[in-house]
Amino acid sequence: MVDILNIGAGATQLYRSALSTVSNNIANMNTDGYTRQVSASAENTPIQMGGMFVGDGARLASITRAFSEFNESNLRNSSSDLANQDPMIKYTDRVVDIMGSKTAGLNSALDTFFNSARDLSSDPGSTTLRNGYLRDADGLAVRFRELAGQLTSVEEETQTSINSQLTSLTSLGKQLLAVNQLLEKNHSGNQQAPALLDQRDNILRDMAEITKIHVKQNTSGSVEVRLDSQTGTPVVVEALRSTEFSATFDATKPGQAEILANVYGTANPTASVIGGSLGGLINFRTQILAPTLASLNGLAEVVATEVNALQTTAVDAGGIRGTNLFNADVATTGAAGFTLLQTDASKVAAAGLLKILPNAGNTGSAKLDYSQIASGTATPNFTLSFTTAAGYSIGGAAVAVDANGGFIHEGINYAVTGTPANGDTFTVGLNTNAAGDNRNIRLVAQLQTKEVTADGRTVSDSYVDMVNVVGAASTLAKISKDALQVVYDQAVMEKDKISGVSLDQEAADLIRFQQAFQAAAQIIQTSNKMFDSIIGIR
Amino acid sequence: MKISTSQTFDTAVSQMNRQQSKIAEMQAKLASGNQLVKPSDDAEKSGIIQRLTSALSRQDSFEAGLDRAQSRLLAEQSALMSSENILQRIRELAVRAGNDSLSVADKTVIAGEVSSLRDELFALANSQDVNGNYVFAGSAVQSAAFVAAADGTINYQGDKNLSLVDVSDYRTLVINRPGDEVFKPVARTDGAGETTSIGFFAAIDDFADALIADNDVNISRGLTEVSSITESMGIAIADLGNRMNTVDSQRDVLADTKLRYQELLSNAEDLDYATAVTQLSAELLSLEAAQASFAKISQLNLFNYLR
Repeated sequence: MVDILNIGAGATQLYRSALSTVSNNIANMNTDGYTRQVSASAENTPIQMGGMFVGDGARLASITRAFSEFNESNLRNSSSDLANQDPMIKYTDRVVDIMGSKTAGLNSALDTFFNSARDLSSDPGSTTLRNGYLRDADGLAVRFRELAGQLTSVEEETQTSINSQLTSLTSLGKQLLAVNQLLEKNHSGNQQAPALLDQRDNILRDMAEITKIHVKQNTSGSVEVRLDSQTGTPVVVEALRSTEFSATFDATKPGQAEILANVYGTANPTASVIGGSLGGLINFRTQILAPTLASLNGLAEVVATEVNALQTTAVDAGGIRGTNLFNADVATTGAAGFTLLQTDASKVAAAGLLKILPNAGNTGSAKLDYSQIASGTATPNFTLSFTTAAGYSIGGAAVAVDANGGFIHEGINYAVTGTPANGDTFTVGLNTNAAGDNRNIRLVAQLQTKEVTADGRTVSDSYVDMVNVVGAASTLAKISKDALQVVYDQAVMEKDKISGVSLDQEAADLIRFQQAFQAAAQIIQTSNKMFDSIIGIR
Repeated sequence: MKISTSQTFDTAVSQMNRQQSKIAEMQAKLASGNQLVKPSDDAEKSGIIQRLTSALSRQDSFEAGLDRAQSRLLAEQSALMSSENILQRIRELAVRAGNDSLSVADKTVIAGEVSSLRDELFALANSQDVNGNYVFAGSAVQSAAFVAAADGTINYQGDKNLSLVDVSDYRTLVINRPGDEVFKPVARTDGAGETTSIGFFAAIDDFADALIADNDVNISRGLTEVSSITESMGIAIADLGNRMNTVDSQRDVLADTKLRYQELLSNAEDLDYATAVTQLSAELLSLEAAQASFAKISQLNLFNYLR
């Protein structure tokens, strides 16, 4: 016998649950990572009466999450891709802002230095201008050091960032492991608590922002997470184990980072960290930071070498051969070790190295001049004599004259033009008492537009190009980010289409289930009236 | 397609945020008057700005060099003009002394004047510029160009170096003329036909001596030699004139070059206000539209109709 009262009671219970599911959805509308829950009803087993089946009402079959695994993994991947661009944009912009600044970049310091050299060349005897030249040389040295320092602080900041991301990854792994263990207690994925599954998906989404992950779901709903799709690559989390991540940095190789995954008690290096903000940080360091620092060091070396080469092949105000202006160790220390060695303005070697005087009694038309001075400390002081019989000689020793009439003595190339007469002599010595000689400082000023870098450009052009390369990387990352943002937004929308809570939908469901509940209550009322009718027969 | 309620809000908020940040960016540009607020706004353009700024500052430095060169040349000019006047006077005296009617006493008077004129020339040959550099000493600018020895002979102590100053990327200017080319020795041929070089001052001294000694041959030789050194002086003045002209024309060239760079820099750097303001209005309009539409859309909710 079908019990109407039972059907009514079951239906009110069913709709009460349905209404509470709807209420829960509404309540959790703004909960982060909440997946909309759906209640499903099922028909009770009908009762056979003779040859017929009479329905026996309905019951609550399940409350499940409105969820698509495909959409979820799509969202994870696109959030990895999107997060990958952020560190690139943030740090490349920083580098461009530091190095590309009109006032704080290298160019303004280079300009000031070369302009000072040029000023000095128009009045090399002036102590004021010599002091100005030294001051601006120091300004250039300071600027090189500052830029190197700024890049180093970016390098340190990214190290800290990598470490903190790895700490997060490790702790997310531990949290996921705890969730996995709870899930493993129940072997059917369908019967897991929705809140637990939401928590699992939230953790996975947070992990995906750090690095790209590959997720494999077990029947229980617990997951295995790897850094790569292949087996054998580092496991982040398994059913019963999670991995500790750490990183080591090599102080001698700025921009380098080694990620260590400690799975089985030993930390092994892994190259599988790609994508996500962690991958972005690693990319920035290897693709932008390391080459930029190397270029800056290269420029520092070129500037120091070129200026020193001129300074040491010239004489200072005291008529003494000049010594290095900048620290020659820049080749090993990089821009960070770019220092000015001279503090005495009279030590600025502005004049050409040699003074060559023909003997007043010379009758030939020969002229002696010098070019190309090898580095060193030679201080020539000799008399060159010519006799028709023996040719050129210095201190009685014959001089080997090349095809062009030139010769090399003490590392300095000399050129002879014209024809000497028998007995002609030239005295060659350091260019003393030549405060007005600007030959060397003029060459320093001309370095500004001389193509001295390894790739054949001026220092300033090479620097601007270096900043442009970083800028181009930043532009590319911004374009990628815009595109990936669209992909990500799309993925969010796809997921929300299924899992999101819409108030309109919930309002309709609320009315629907409320009306159904009211109708079910009527069944009880009807059943009661029927019972009364039977009782009331007399 | 179902749109979840929180997504409606999130999307609207993120769109308004994006719009707000665009407006803030425009505002910063308008406030600074620059197309780029920071280099990372457009690295390539900031590279162009750096190049132009450095080219411009180089022109400024060429101009400063030109100023210093000019002050040096002015010192040279004043010395040369005075010297030329003095040499003219000596030449006049030499011509007058060549006149047979003059007495020995007259010639002695002339000799006295020649000697004092020679002393003036000596002082002029050791002229210094405003920075204390000896103008005619070649590159040995810190010591006198001509020095009198104990016996009264005057020797050139400077060197023969020409100082070149760069006054543009392509042009150099010689800012000095060695003293022994300005106060140039003369070639004297003696009775035996041998030619020797006689110093500028020695030639004038010899002329004065000839006047005192009333040696007509040497007086007439003096006239020839004074004419010759006057001529050398004339050449030095012409050379100076050329260099002064270079200074003037180079100043114009530099001014033009600077103007051109300034224009390029302004194009690269300065904000076009008309365009920027229009753009700002457009951004403001779309922000207002986003706000208004959000206000309307957020009202649309079935719960509003359930009473």
